[in-house]
Amino acid sequence: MANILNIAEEFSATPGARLREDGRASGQQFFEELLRPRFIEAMQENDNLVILLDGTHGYATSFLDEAFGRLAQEFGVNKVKNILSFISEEEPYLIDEINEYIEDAHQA
Amino acid sequence: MGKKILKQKKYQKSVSLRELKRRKIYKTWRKKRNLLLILTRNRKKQRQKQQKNETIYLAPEIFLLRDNTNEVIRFMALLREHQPHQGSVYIDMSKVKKIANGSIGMLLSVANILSRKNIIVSGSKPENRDANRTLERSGFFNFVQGHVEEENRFSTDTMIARGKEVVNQVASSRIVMDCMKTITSESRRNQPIQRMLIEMMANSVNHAFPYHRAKNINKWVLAVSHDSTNKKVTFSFIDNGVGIIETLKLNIRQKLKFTIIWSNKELLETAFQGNIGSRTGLAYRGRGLPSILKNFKSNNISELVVISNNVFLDFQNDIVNELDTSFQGTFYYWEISQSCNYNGKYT
Repeated sequence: MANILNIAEEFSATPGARLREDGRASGQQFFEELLRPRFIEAMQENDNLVILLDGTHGYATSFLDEAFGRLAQEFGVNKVKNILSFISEEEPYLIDEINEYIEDAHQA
Repeated sequence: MGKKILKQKKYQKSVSLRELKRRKIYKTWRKKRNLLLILTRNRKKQRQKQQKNETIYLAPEIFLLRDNTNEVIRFMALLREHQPHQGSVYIDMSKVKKIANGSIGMLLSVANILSRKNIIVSGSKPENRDANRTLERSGFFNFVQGHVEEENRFSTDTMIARGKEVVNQVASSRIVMDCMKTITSESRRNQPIQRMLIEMMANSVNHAFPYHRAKNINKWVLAVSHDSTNKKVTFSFIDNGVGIIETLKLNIRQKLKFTIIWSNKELLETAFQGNIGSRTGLAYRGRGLPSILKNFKSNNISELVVISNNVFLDFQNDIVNELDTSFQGTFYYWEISQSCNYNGKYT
């Protein structure tokens, strides 16, 4: 059974901005409370983690950059790309965008 | 005979009861009248005192940011520079013939700044009926004291509450759903618009006030206007910080340790195109402005106008101008209509 992280259902249908101090449902909160633990779990179990992006009201660039960019900074671009995959039928362009954030992580 | 006497006594008793009641009513009325007289007198005295040390600012007849940019920005700059020692402010809008939510939002924003300096702000409404209706229907008087005609009290034009320290994406998601209802007759999500609003709120909250952690001030105002006849919604977002250009210059100065020699026009255009990093060699991560421009280029929005510091950018008509007067802050304007692409199939 696929290991799916449904952001709208498991985190928030209205994700916010970058940091906790910016307000509710920030990229930082998502990274610390959900994305990172689930990523580590998938890594330990030699599994993939599918991120379902559909169902929210919309993502700020800062939210995505903070969440996925930070993941790549911590675990490395290749590891993140090997483990993560994305489903985004409502906004297909988000997948390329997130991949950019992951690849740019090494510059930060 | 006895009956007559009884009747007389009863009659006397009821007269005195009636008289007591009458006197009580009269006393209450007199009390209220005296109170009203005192209040009116006090208000008059207050107004006279205010007028002795008051500066009158005459609002432009064409109070539209897009159509009369220089004059409106000049007016706002004058207001904003008013100092407490100059006394109170009286904004005379009596001659205003045309006004829209963008300039109303900016006016509210500036009035907030003046109030923070403990400057009393008052004013007059437009004599022009259409302009007055626009002002009353905008929701301006939800934040400022003033009478609103019954017919204008319930309107889909929304002057959204101002934002302080946090990004309020839940409120913006509801606004977006309402907008989509105007355009498609159904409440739907529109992710690109929601994204833009979060970017703008976040920029305002995080970057617009770099020199001090301004707490408990209204950092942004969002004004939304619904035209259900033409199925069009217009947005005006105003943040009263230092402006995009000043923020960029500060960030670049801090990271590069020197000042770049670009014109403000060039700097703002470069920022929207996402080329600050490539042109400066900085690992510049600012993606918010490019995502706003991307929305426009993808036809998710139309008529995008940005005014920041002394630059006026009209993306629809490909106009970039430097203004005579600088606007301290950032103003965004855009529209969505049935001719835009929208992710409206998702409820």
